[in-house]
Amino acid sequence: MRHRYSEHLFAFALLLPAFVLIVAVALMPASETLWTSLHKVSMILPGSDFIGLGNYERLLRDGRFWNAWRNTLYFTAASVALETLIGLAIALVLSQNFPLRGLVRAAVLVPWAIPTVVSSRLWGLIFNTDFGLANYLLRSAGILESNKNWLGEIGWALNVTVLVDVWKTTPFMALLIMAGLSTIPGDLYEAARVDGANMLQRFFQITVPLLLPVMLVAVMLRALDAFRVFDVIYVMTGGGPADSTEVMSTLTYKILFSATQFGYGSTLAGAMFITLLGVSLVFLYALRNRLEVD
Amino acid sequence: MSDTKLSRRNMVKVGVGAAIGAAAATSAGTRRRTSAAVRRQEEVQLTFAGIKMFGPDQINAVLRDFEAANPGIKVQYIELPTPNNSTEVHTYLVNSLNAKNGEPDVFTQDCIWIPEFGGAGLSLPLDDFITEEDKAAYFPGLIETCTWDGKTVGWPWFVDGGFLYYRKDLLDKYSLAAPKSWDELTNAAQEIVSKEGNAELQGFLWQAKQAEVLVCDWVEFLGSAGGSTLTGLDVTINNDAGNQALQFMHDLIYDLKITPEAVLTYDEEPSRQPFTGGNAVFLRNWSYVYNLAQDPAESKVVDKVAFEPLPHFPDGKSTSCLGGYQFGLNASSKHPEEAFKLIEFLSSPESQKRYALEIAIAPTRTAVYDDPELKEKNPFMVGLKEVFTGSTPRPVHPAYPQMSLAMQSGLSAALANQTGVKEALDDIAQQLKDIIG
Amino acid sequence: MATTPSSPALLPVSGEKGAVTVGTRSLSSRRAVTILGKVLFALLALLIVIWSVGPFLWMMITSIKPDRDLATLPPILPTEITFNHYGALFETRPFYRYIINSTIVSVATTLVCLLIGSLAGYAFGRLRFPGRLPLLLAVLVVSMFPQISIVAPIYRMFQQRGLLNTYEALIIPYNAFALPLAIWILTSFFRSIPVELEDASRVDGTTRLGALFRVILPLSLPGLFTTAILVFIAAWNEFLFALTFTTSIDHQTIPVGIALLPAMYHVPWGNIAAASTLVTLPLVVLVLILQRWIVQGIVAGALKG
Repeated sequence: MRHRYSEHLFAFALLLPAFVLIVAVALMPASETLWTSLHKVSMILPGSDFIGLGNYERLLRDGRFWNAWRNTLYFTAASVALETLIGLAIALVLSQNFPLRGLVRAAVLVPWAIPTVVSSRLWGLIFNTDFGLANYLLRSAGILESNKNWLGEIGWALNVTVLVDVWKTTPFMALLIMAGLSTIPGDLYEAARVDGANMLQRFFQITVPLLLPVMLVAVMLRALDAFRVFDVIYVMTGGGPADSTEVMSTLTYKILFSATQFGYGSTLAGAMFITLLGVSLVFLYALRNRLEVD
Repeated sequence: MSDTKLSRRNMVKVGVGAAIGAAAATSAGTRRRTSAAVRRQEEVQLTFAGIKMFGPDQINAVLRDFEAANPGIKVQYIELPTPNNSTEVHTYLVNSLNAKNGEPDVFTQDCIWIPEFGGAGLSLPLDDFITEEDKAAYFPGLIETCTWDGKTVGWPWFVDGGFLYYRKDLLDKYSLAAPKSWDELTNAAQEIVSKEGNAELQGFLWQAKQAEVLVCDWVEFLGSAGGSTLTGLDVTINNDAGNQALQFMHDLIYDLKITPEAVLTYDEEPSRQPFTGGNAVFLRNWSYVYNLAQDPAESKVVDKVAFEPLPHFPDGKSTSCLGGYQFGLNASSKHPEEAFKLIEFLSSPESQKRYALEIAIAPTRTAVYDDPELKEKNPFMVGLKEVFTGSTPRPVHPAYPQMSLAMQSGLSAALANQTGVKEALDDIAQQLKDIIG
Repeated sequence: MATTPSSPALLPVSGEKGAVTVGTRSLSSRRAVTILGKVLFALLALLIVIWSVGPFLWMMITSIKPDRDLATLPPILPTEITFNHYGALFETRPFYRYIINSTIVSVATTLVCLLIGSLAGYAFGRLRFPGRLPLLLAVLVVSMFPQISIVAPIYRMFQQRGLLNTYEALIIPYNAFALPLAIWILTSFFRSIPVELEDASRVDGTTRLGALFRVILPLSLPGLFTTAILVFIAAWNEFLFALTFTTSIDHQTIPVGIALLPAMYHVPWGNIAAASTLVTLPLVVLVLILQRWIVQGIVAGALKG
């Protein structure tokens, strides 16, 4: 009994520094934002009225919110799915032994190392209708007949921003999966080979199950991040054309800092929080057995 | 979020304080040293948050001159991002002014935010410091922009506006005069583009990215049809003039085809680059383009570019959207008198002439344009005086930023063929009415 | 490169033991398959490199083109090469100052985050205590708010503490926002290390903390280095906090420095490309050095021993 208490105390002591930081710099400001979301308060009007869930009611009737919510879900699902697939492929290749592997590994991380503000501009130029590299290459290859207005066409614009996000963050996925692969004992493959398992069997019976926890964690972290996407959209399209690339973060930013409707803007932040809390709970449920201490 | 009215906030602050106290200790030490130094010299320490112009040095040089002229006042310069990052500048001001601790004492603000900060009581009315005579020295449109609810809550720094840039060499080649009406512009663009035989050449570039600049272009098209977004506090955006203007913008892209669909993604720079790259006949843009067009490192059209006021419809007049950054005095400043001295110095005729000569930003005092040295060294700028005299502000209202978002979204929807022109304008009008309340 | 006994042999080619299971085929056809596999593999690797580095190369090309050629294509390669953009970076202000600031902030953030994250990761991954799962969830709450919505409260808090415009103003929030990543990754790595290894060292009389530092951490090097790279680069690239919490070149970081390059509306894309190239290259070198430790199969080796 005493042993268990000392283990509890030890655990809490280890957690203390992390939680002090998280509580002070994230949880407190976040709860302040949540509290503000229950008020009707804007910079240009005097006073601040507590209106309970009034802002949330308004949110449910707000077409802009639902438009941004749908775009954000699409963005998140599309980019995380592509990143996972490409990241897995890259990780599998980079786990093999081949000449110049170190250089290739470093090269793979380049997109992650370029500041998002810059890479968004870079891709904006590449997808420029008139003098962008994308149109030039596609036309030279005979795939496109005339220049495409990638970022100005509803239906394409959001997909282009997904592509840019995938390019930028696939290294994150690849790196985590690579590290996950490295913890799988090589003996397992040896044993499976002796038992006559072929490549695909080894992949699905050893790699996939052993990699799953790390991958789920990586997918969850990426999903939480992609849902808050801001820079890529803000720099490349500003939410346009016709709100077709407006996402939760850009809308929140506009309402909070351009329109200075602090109450309603905080409500949008609250709506993101509630959505992501749901997503996290799903992942936590999927991971619960992997996270139990035996 | 906006102030300290919510009692829970103080609780939060105490908790946070305890939590990060240790981390704060080191820099609190630094702060104490600084304040001790200030006391010793009995100086007033002002902070000036100004947008970045061309290099940091010109602004710093002016501030040092101010210090030399006003012993006992020191100014610290907080460099804000450039106007093309205006949202970040706005965010900084919202955060720092709402913190209400007097920093920065003096700030620079886009003219569209003046009623907002004034109406929120965050910038100090300057009426005690200034006279009617002072106001008369400036462009009247700017004084209007700096006034909200009968109070002067901003003070002019520099002015900008939209113009029509055109390829003089190409117009000359086909014996065309600079267009005064939209019809003339359309005909000229169509003729030149079809006869030049350059597949890359565009007729007329402007800006339709879903951003503030779309509203600027809109104000100009609308004014050129004789309309305005608000008349007093009445919403008049969806009358005949409004429909004519938006329909024309739409036609330029899809019917007259002298504007590429790519303008839907263009703000200032993407529209400027093809023009100075030699691939456009006409361009609507701000005054910064002129010097770039004459710089051989940047431009393929050196000495081939001229400018005119923007064209108009038969019923309207040429309209230039009023832009530029103006000064504000923080309502929480602990040294308002010294702070106003700084504003006065920064907007003096001497300082304005200096900006015009050194960093090519246009004076807001009309008399500076008559300066012989400026006339000789920057005839382009002197030529702009007429345009600035008649330039049109965007709706002057504290809730303008909110209105702007509604207009950006609605105009973009019409130009991207998501909604019809009339439908879009009616929808914007309804939103503007709701915002005005 | 060190030996990699654990490299999972999943693709046709993988060095010494990458032979495909083709037991029944003849020797020559087996060789043909191996060669074909090698070619395909090389193509795949090349594709990955092009996808990753291509746009970066395009930026490097941009950085040596004169500005007037930026808005026209073709030509793809510059007809005239200029290094003016690089010179311009240091002309108006000391750009190296931003690099120094970014290095200080990123290194400090990474070290603090790894230390605090390891302690917490060990607790979550190895210890039994009430409220584990809710606390793990609470760690994630940090990632559930758009950062823009909590900038204002943090700004006021730092202002009251006199923390604005210091390195701490960046290191503290970067740590808070990197911790969920670090804690979750390290937790899952620590959990994958067999309990027997730790127990063995405990029998030898090592304390739990000692076991963390002497057994768990060395075995989790791939996870630690991965986390280090991710945290370091995230701090290196962060823009919004850096812009809001620092106001002078003494403490501003690279992304802010790049954002301050434009003048009025004019965006000097050539200068921005030069600056980005300049600040990305050291990261590539850093990764080149660190990546040796990422995939080494330490666990497997340890288990054998």
